[in-house]
Amino acid sequence: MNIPQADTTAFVGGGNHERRFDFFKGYVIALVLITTLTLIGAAIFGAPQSREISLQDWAIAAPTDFILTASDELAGSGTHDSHGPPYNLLSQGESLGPINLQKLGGLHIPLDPANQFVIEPLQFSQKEGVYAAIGKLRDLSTSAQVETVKGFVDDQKAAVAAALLQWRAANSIQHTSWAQNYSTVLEEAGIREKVGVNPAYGPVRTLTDALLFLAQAGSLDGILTTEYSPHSSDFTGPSLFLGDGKYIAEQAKAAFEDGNRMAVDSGTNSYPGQFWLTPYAFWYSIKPFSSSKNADIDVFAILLIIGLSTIFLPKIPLLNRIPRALPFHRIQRRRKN
Amino acid sequence: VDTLAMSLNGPAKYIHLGPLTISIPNLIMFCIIIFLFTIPFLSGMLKIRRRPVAMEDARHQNEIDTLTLIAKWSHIVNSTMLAALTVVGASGLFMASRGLNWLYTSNVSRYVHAVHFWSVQILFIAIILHFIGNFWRAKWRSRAFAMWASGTITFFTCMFTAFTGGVVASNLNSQWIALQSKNVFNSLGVGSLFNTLNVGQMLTVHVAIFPVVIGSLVLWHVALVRGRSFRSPWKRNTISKGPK
Repeated sequence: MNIPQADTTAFVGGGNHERRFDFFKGYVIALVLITTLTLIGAAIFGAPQSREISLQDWAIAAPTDFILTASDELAGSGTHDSHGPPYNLLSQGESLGPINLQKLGGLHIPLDPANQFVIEPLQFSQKEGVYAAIGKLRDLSTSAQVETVKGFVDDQKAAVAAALLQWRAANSIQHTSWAQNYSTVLEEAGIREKVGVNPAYGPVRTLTDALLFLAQAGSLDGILTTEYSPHSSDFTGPSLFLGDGKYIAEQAKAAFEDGNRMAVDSGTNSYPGQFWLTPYAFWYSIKPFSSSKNADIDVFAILLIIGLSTIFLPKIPLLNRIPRALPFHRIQRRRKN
Repeated sequence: VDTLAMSLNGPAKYIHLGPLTISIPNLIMFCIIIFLFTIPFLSGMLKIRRRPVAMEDARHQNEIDTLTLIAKWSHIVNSTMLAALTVVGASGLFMASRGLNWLYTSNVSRYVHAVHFWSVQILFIAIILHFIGNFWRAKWRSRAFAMWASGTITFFTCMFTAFTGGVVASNLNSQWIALQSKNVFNSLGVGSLFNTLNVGQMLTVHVAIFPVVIGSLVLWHVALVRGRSFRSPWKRNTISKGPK
């Protein structure tokens, strides 16, 4: 007979084994080991790095997409125009059967994309006399060059002032018509330089061009974040504008094989991401959620049920018998005699 | 420090398993978890000792040996979890004291960020092992519901905290995740209470509110576990049915 009695005491009292190990000793040893491991691991593998995309990056890398997005905002057909609360009340948002929490949440971050993203920044730049060319002034050496650029700035300023006047004098139907006419032609042409002057576009071409210059110079990033304070940490405005365009989605798709997938579990570059969220992101890629308008609330409802079931697992009949039905605890080695 | 860093900043490969799309790095993390989970079983199977005992004694001995291995394994996992949480907290505190823009300014900041990043990965590996280990042993038996519930709530809170950290990490990934996941909070009607595009708000939630919540939950959970285990045994040999 060779049964160590000390071992059996480890499992009495509902199978708690912790009492036979020194809790604090274990913690201290683990702390030393894990600290060493992470210090070495961090030195070998480093930290994920990939630059965020600014409006400036977008305007420089994909000017056509930028202008098309700005034009969509002017037409009132941007992605977030139909988002619903908390940005606007133009749609109901997502609902779970008869329950619409999004509508219940109400309007808290009022968003008027045409004015906030296009008209007001241009108006602001009029007031301050800031244009993309201002950035170039710094690099100019001769006074003749400075005069040329100043002339360009004055011309731009005058053109934008006239365009803004024309825009404000027109009604929303006219706005939509101008912007849509311009978008259609620009989409066919591919680049803005190929699109000629046409009264059917109204002031849209002048406005979007000016906004592009403003963004390319980096001014738009600042203007959209400093509405309430010059030292802002709220990027809701520029992020929503960026999100309305196709550029960031293309970049994300290239980086995380995104497609229509919820990429919340993706890592940066070749780093692991929040892999524990894979069971959450998974639901977005299967039907009916992959094509549902209410995917977010539907998937959340499923996760809520799973989460509550996990918390209350001990109280749920059948589920609390799973470990007994699938007896992992029976796996053990076969002793040979 | 950077010269040591292996290049993990190239694009990741993704594989498609039916509707499931998963990156190779994430898949590796899952494989690590599965491997670590099987260690007590594997080591039990590999370490075959020969002893001159009767068959029924041997079976009883096997059971005890396996349980001892699993108990040791659990102890290691539990200690790892708390140790990793400490490293996460310490590196996080350091980063929080320096501010968000500090993250990418120097080799030191990148290194501290890397320590925080990898300790979070280790923490979640340990939490998941702890979770599945306790699930398969049905540790909620013997009126331990509060212990189980406090553990699962802590797990979900950790997930949410990690999410807020992911959103403020100032890279393309965090930008895209914030943009996508704002729809989730908007659909719940809490889009302004929890605006993922507001970096200042997310950072405050990540570094001030949730660490306190997690700390309290962990204390509660550990107190419950330790409180139980200090109780005197009330029934001996309930598992063992070996020879008297």
